[in-house]
Amino acid sequence: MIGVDLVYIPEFANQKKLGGDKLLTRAFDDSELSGSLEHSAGIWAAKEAVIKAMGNPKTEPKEVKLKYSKNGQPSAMCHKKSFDVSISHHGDYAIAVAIEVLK
Amino acid sequence: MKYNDFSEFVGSFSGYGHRTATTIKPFIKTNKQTYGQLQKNVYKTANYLIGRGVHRGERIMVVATNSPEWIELFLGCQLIGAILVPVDSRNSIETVNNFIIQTAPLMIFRGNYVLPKLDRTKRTVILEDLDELINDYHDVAPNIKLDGQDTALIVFTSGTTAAPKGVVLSQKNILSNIEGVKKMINIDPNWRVLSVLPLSHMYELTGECCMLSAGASTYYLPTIAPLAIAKALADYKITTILAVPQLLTLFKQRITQTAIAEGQEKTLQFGLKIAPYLPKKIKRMLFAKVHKKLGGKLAIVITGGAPIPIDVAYFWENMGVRALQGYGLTETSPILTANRVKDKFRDTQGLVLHNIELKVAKDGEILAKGPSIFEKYWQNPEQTKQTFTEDGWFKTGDMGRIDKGWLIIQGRAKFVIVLPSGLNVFPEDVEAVADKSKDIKEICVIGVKTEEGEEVFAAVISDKKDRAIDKAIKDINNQLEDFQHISKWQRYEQEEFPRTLLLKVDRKNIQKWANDREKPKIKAKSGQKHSDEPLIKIIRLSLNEPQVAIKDSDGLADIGLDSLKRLAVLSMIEEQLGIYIPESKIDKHTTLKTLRKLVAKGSHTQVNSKRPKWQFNKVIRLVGVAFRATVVRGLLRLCVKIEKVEGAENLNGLDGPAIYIFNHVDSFDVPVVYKALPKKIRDNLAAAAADDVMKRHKILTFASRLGFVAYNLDRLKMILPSLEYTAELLEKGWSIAIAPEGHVSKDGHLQSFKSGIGLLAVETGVPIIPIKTFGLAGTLPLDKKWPQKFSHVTVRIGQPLIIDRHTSYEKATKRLYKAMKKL
Repeated sequence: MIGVDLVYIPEFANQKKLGGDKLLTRAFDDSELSGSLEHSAGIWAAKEAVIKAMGNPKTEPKEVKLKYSKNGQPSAMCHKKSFDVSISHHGDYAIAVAIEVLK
Repeated sequence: MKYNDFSEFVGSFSGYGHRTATTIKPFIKTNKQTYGQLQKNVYKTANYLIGRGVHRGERIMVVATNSPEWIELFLGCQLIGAILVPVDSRNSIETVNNFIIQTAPLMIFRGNYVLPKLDRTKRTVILEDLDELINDYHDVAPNIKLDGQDTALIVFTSGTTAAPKGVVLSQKNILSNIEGVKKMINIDPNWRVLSVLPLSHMYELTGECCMLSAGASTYYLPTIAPLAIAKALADYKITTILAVPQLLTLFKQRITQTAIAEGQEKTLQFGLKIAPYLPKKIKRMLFAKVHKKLGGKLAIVITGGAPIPIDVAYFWENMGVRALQGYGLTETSPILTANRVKDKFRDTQGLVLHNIELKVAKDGEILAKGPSIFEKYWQNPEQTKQTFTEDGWFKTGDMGRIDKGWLIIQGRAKFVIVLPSGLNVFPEDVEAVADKSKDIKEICVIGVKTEEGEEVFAAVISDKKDRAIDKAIKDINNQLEDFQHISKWQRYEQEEFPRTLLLKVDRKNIQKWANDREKPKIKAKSGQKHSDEPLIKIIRLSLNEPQVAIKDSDGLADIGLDSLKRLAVLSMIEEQLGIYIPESKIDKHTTLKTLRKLVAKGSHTQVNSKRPKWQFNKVIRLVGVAFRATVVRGLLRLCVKIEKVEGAENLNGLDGPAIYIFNHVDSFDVPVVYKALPKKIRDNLAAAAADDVMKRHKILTFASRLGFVAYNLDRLKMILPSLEYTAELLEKGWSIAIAPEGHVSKDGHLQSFKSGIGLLAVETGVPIIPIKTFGLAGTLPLDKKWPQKFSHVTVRIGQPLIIDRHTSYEKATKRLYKAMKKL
C-alpha cells in the first residue's frame, strides 16, 4: 500500500503551540523530539503517510517509528511492517510519501 | 523604604544576599538565583549594554516570556538610563514591527520560542542567552549618574489599527509606585510568589519589583496553562500569586467540578456556607483537601487588570485565602488603590496609595494626580493633551465614587472592553477593520457581560444572509489580534444605529439592547452541563474559530478536526483538564458526544506522580550500603570476578553530581558498575531502572531500590516527567547510573542510544562518564533465573564529557555514543 500526506507548516506550528509538550510526547518518539519546525512537520507528514499506507486509521502516530539511514534516507517501522519513506519541504509545506516494503 | 534611583534599588539586594530571588524551570532543570547573584548579573548586564554601545535615552526592546533574564535586562537598562520597550510575546509580528518602527530600538531581546522571523539583524539577540553574553563583563555597578527623571519604559497599550499608544514612564514613576504599594501591602520576605502574568504588563512588572525590594522569592512560569500553574503551586509551596480574575474563576470552577465528580458537592457547599463565621485557620482546615492540591501554602491572591466577580472573591475568602483587589492603569505605573492584607474583605478597589491623590470629576470620572502618573504618550502630544485636564489631573476613563478613602468603580467612561484576562480591546480598533467589509453595512462593537467577565460582541446591520455575515466576521477576526476577536455577533434589526446628540453611535443604548437580548437558545434547550464548556473551548481554539457552533452528533472530521488537530485537542484536554485519552480511542468518525463521554469518564492524570521515595532516606541508605556489602557482594562473587578497573584516574577531580552511562549487557551490570566505582561516588549513586521491568519483578525492584537507590524511568510513555525527576535528583546532589541503550544487548554489541540521554546531558550540564564492561554478557541474562556461567570482567572508565548547552539532543546523543563505542 502507499500513503501520502501534505502538511501546511504554519498550521502545524499553531497546533504544536496549542498542544505543547503533551503533543510532542504523544506524537513523537524521544529520538524525534529535537530539530527544527520544518523537520518536525516533515516527520509528522511521514507518520501520517505511513498510517495511510497501513490502511488502519486507528494506528497511533507514536507507533510509527522513523529511522534515518547513514546517508540520511528515512524509513519507517510500524507493527512489524516496514516502509520506505520520502520527505520533502519547501516554503510553507512539507510532504511525505510512504510505501510498504514487502518482505 | 524610598529609592531615589534604580542603583539604590539594585544596591538594596545586598541586604538579602543569600536569599533566593528567582527560580525558573525552563525545561527539566530548575535554575535558582540568589539576590547576590541577581545583583551581579544586573551589573554585568548594564556593563554589557554599555559595551554594545547603548547610551542613556536609547531604546531596548524585549519580546519574551517571563524569566529571570527579563528582570536582569530591565534593571540593567535602568542603571544606565536606557529605555526598555517591553512587548507582550503573544503579539503578532506585524504589531511588533510597528513598535520597532515607532521606537527604533538599538537592540532587541527576543525569547527563544517567540516570533522566530522577527528582525533577523545583528541587533536582535536571544534573551535566554543573556547570562552567557554578559559573562565576561564586570560585576560592579556602572558609574553613571542619573537623576530619576530618566525615562524607564515605553509600554504600548493594545490596539492595532488606531495607532497604539506608547505610555512613557519615568524611573521616578515606577519607584514611587513601589514605595506606595509597599506602604499599603506589607510584603513578607518569606513569600514565595508565582509569576504568571506577562512582565510586559505594568501590573506584573511593578508587582515583581515590589517583591524584589522586600526580599521575597519569585518563581517564573513560562506557560499559563492551568495544570502547569497547579503543579507549580504544589511544587514550590507558593504563598502568593498576582493574577487576573479569570484565573481565580477557572480554579473555582475546577474545584467545584472536582467536588461534584467526587460526590462531595454538598460538603463543599455546606463548608462554604458556614465558612464566613469561622476563623481563618479553621477555614483552611475545613478545606484542607483543596489546599493540599494548591500546595498547602497559598494564602494571598492579588488581582488586577479587571474587576473580580464578587462570588469568586467570596469563594476564595471562604477557603481562607485572602483575595486582594487593586486598581490602576498602565499610565499610572500602574497601582492607584489597593486593599490591605490586614483588613476584612470588602467589595471595593481598595484604599488610595499614600502618595496618590484621587478625586471624582463632575461627570463621575475618576481623576488622579501623583508622582507615579505618566508624563506623556510616546510621540503623541495630541493624545497626551486629551488625557489630562487643564489643571493637570490624569483622566482614568473610569467612573466611580470614593467612600471614606475606599474607591468603588462603577463603570467606564470610555467603552474599552476589559477581557477576563485583563487585556483591553478598544471597540474603535475592531470597527475600523470591520468597516472595510463589503457584507456589513454598519457595525458597533461593545463588551457584553458573561459569567467570567466581558466578551467582544458585535451588533451588525446588513442585508446579507447570516452565513455571509458569519464569513465576514471570520475575515475581520483574521485581521485582528487573537484577543480582539469578535466572539459573538447579532443582527441589529433596524436601518441604522441609534445616535447621540453629537451623532456618534449610542453605544450605551446598544449595550443595553445586547444585554437584554434573548440569550442564545442552545443553552436553554439542551441544558448543557457546565463541564462541557472547556471541551468546546478547546475545540474552537484548535479550529481557530471562536464562535463556531458544534452539535453533539457532529463527527470530529465534519467540524474540521483533521488528525493533527485531533491530536492537539487531546493534548490540550490532557494539559488543561488533566484527563488522558489515548489517540486510538478516537478517529474522524468519533462524534462530539462520544468525545464528551470519554472526557467524563477519563482518568485524571496525576499532577504529581507518586514515586516511592523511601530509598533516599538516610537511615535506609545505611541499611542499603550494608545490604550491598553483604548480600549483593556475596551473590556477585559467585558468578563474577572483576579482574581489572581501567581509567579510574578519570574520576579524579569529579566532585558533585554526574551521570554514569554504561553498556547494558546483563542483569549484573548495575552491581558491577557500583563495585567498580570508588565508595565516595557509589554511596551517592542512584540507578535509573525501566518502569515496565520494575513493575513486573517485585522482589528485584525492592532489592534494587534498597541496594542501588533505583528509581523508575518510564521509557514508553511520559518520558519528560521521568527526565525531570532525574534532573531533580541531580540537583539534590545524587549522581545517576543509567543505561542509555534502553534494552539489554543480547550479543553484547553496543546498540544505538535513546536520545533522552542527550537531552539530559544538554539540559543538566553535568559531566557524563562512560563506563564499559567487557566479558559480562551472558552471565545472568534477563530472561534466565539462574546464572549461566562464571565471568571474568574488565571495567573501563572513560573521560568525563560535558556537553555544551547549544548542542542539539541528537548530536549530544551521538557524541556520547561515540565516546562509549571508542572505549
